[in-house]
Amino acid sequence: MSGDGENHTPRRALYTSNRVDMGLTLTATKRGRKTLLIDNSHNTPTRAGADIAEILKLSAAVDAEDKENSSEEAVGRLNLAGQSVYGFQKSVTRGRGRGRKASGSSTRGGVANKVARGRGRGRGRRGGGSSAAAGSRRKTMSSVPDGSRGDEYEEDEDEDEDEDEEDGGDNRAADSDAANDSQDDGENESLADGMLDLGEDAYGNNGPAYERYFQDLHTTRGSKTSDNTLSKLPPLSQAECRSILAKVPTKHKNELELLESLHRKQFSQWFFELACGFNLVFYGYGSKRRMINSLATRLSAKSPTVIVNGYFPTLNFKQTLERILSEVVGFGDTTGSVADLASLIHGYFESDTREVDNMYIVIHNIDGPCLRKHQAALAVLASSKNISLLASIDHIEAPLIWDSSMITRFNWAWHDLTTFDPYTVETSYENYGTESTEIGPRGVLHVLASLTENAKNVFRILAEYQIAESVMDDDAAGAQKKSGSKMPEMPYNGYFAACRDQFLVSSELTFRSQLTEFRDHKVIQSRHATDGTEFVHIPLDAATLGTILESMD
Amino acid sequence: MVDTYKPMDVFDSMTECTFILKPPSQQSQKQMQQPQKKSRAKGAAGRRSSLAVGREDSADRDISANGGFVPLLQGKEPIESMELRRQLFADMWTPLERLLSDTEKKVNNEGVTEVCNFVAASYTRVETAEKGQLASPFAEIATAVVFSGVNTGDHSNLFQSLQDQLYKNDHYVVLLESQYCTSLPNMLKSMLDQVAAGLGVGASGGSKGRAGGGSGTGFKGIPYDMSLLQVWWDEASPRKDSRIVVILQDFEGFGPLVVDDFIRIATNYCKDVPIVVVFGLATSYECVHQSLTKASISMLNVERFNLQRSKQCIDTVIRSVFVESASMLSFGAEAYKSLLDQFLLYSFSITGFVKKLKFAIMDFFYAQPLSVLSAMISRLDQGGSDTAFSIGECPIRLCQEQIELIRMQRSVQRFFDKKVETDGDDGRKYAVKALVDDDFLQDSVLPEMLRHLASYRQSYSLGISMVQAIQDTMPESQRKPLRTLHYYGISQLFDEGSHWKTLSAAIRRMKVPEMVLLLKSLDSIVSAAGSLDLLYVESSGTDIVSLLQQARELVADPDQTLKDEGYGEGKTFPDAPSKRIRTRTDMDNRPFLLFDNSSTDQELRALDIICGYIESILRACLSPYQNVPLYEVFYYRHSFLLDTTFSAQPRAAVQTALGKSQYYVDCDCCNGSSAPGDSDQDDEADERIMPSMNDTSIAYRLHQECRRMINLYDWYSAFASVVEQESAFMPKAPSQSEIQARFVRASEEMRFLGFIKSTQRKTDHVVRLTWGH
Repeated sequence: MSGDGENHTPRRALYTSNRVDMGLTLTATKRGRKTLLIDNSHNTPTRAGADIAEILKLSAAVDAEDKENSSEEAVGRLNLAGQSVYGFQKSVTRGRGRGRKASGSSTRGGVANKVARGRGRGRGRRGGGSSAAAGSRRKTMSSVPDGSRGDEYEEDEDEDEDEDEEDGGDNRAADSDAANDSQDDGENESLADGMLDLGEDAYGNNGPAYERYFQDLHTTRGSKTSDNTLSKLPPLSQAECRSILAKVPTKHKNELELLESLHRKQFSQWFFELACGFNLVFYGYGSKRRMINSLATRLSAKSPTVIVNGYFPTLNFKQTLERILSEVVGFGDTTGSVADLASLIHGYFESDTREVDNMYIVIHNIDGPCLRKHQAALAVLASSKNISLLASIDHIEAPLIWDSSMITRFNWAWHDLTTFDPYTVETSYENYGTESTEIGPRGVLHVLASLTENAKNVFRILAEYQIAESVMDDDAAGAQKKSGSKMPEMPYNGYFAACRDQFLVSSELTFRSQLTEFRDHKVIQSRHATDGTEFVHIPLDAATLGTILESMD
Repeated sequence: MVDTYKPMDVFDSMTECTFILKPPSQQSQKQMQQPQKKSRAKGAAGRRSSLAVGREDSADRDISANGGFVPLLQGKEPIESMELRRQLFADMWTPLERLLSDTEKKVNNEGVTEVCNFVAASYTRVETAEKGQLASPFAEIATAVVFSGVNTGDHSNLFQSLQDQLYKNDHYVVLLESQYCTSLPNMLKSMLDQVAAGLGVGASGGSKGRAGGGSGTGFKGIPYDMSLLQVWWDEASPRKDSRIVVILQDFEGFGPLVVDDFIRIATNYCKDVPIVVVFGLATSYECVHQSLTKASISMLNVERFNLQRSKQCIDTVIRSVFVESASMLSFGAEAYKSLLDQFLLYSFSITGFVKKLKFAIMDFFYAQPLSVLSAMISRLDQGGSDTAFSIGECPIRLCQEQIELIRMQRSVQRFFDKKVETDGDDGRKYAVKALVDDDFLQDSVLPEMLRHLASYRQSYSLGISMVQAIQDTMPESQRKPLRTLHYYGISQLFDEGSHWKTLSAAIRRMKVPEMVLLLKSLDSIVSAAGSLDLLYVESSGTDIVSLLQQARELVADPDQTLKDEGYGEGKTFPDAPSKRIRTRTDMDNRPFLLFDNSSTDQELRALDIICGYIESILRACLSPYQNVPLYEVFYYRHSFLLDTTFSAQPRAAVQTALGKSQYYVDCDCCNGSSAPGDSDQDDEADERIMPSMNDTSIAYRLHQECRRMINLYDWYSAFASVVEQESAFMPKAPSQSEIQARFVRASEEMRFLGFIKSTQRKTDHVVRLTWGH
């Protein structure tokens, strides 16, 4: 059995001895965790021998329970503080009978592995002498003949201990540790054991009962879901998903058509409301973009109409405003922040000398992720008498994005536009639930946000290269739709050279590590050509890259 | 891998998120202007084709025709009638809107003037102090803290009028909003831009200056700095009593550090440039202490002003709109309550109130085919106090459907019944003719009914004025504001309402001198009302004028009058014993008589009779509007519409659509097989998850059975077990991959709607975010 313990891989040995060191440092710093030195350091025979000697001394001290001096002496050599000695004494007295037995068995050598490990466990969690009690208890558990299984168990427990050490902090006195022990182990130890071990402490002053209640509430009841994962299902790509869904017949077709015709009857009324200065917001289940777009197309017969897809993951609102300014208002070359642009548009439509009488702005999903921070600017637009806003919301908590002064500016009239249409377009940017190798623009942004400036620039070089290439492709190939089938790629060497020229990387090693990071996140993909040269590319098209680059600024 | 996503339609794209559609005329210009931009041109071509499709689509009905008005009554309403409704709406709303904004201005005016006086008086004190021996070592900025109330939506109006008023007094005004002042440079830039824009702009330049403020049209390259302001001030050398007023409209929204820094900078300049700062506070003065440091507060010379006047404003509005009825449209009890609740319980926002009112008026003229009748009533424009209506002819002939609709109103039927009761045979003939002869109905019956209505409205407003006069004699705590009185007036019977009881108790407590005063004020109310048409009150057998006359005589000479009318001493009063407290009822109603020895028995008797008179007058005036013919038309009832339009519950709508789909989709397949009558079974059927339901609905119902964490695979299995039963009514059962795809779609939608979110805590788990149904 001891052989089992020693036949571990070197890594494990290293691990445990590291732990011993850690235990030592802990001893140095933390009071109340002192007897830690009695450890599973038996992996190295010499140390094990020394430990056994110490254990012997300790157990001797335990036997002579009334001789406080000697126990203090033994402990004193281990640099223990007085407080923990008290705790040690106390728990040893309590679990004395078994404790003695445990130490006895450990002296007998062969079984030292398990027992000592049990102590090691006690070392981490409890201070002082409760290790003796724990040791004995662990022994009953370790009567399982299979050593390796015990080891596994032990490893898990070790991790728990580490967490506990983090949580515990210095100020946890030895006896309160004992109380906590009951909470920690309550789940997997027999009731008798717990009772015996802890007696009044569990309900005593140190570990309040309510803590245990909440712990039970959150740990045991909270995670009753099964461990099944989606990997049990065959992988399904997004494209397959779409093609399948396109063929699925609609349920309640007739009823929904009736619902839609009822909605359509209100178009005139909505127009009247818009004309009276209200802005419309549509809510309810189902994609509303088809209906709203149909309304918008009709509105556009008289006045310019801007349709904004707010659900778009890389929507650049500033660009949208700039486009409105240049294409509707006719101001070229505008600069400034989003708020500036919004008030510029507002000012134009308030002025008496304007050419464009009024404008409709349709925003699908005004609660979209990229628009959430621009609500103030939208409210400025909406507050103009000559700009009418039509918006839809889908998130159930969406109204929370507006405060009361914004609500006044928006001047909403709410309308229920429940359509039961699937959110095919709105959710087409999500990768959720599907096995997919590609990463969406949102994912790329997410990855980039967590990278250093240098790494971002590394990405930028490739992106700019691809944009330039695809523009050239467009010009060259024209209608051949070549760009759709094949992405522009950059040779690895050229990429490295470009990055080095910009002082982004100093050596190929650093470049490789940057690239690996991108590759891990599927932002950059590489391919070996037939002649062995490596090509890298970002699996996104040029326009998306453009918006990503802009939102990086 | 390139995503092979195919766009649904022209407005869907993986790369574009903004589409601009233009009317045909402008669009062609655009094409000429920008041919060089390739991708856009392509997109525009696509758009044009879509527009063509749109045209065909809209050919059946142009939604913008007639300003959105459509013929009602299944399209049978004549065009003239529809045009009339449209015209009436404009005629009614335009003056009303002006009235409302004027009212708001008038109410705010007082506070605004106070602030203006403060601004004018500021720094003069400092100057005199400088002339004196002990000049303050610290320069303090004159600061007005304006409490503007929690109705932040109205603040822009309030501060706009403050700004205009200050402009008129030759001050330079800068109105700053927190959204443009996120940092100190922004704030200074915005401020200096406005000062520069306001230069030479007269009284009305306010809004323009503001529009220029945030638009980035300022001088580029110039560092915006307060020293610039000083230089400008020295050069402009305006009038000596001009000030630069910096208004921070929403003080709570500003970053504390920004304001703090601003104050420190301004302190350095305020000796040379008279800067007055105005903080607009929505909450309490605590806020200033919390956000500014002690050091900078000590640099302020603070005075407080209270501009929270939305309640007064709303009372004035209610008086002019509902009680004195600027128009014939009024609100029924429920709709009025919804209107008032929105105001009182939500935000005290006048804008919100006006918005709802406007929407109700819009709805009235848009959707009520009988709203054309309001064209028959017009107010005689002879000064404000005149409340007389004149009933004219309807400018159009009503169509058959409209006439039938009038006949079908319950109140009209009651009107005929009453005619029959009171006038006997004549009444019967009248009723029969009205029911058969359309012209007779329109030409004689309708005006008569409308006259009743107009008369009722007059007497109602008279009644409310009287109630207010009586209230004035009561202690402050028992008085109710007009908005509440009006609600009682339309919702409670006079004999039942608790406030009315307090009111009668108050008059019964009165002694002779008080009663004389009260009668005088009631008299003046009646005479001030001018030419009253009291047809309605008289029809109920109450003559206000003569009752008041009798009361006056009684109180002037109780003995004589009582005798004149045949009441002898004790004999004709079987219930009038000699003791003061005569009955138990007296004890309850008039306990004060125990202590009151000043009045004689005769006087008490007279007072009692007078109280009876006043009560009967009020009872007649405040009778419920449900007794008036055609009240269904002129008392707006659609409180539900107002609630759904302005207090919408999007979350509840989505949950209803998913959890109780039958409210939206009235299908036979999803309701189970239970009998419709059995409520228990219905409940069960509600819970049952049918395979015929919408996919997301199935997923939603399944997720409701879960705890906080949901295992996606298990969710999928449950979903699959439901969906597989589709084979019962579909030609073939769905394949595994189809189920999987549908589940993915359903769960994605659930996440999109915000019911669940993904989590890292366990593999392939999502967290549930909502609870309850």
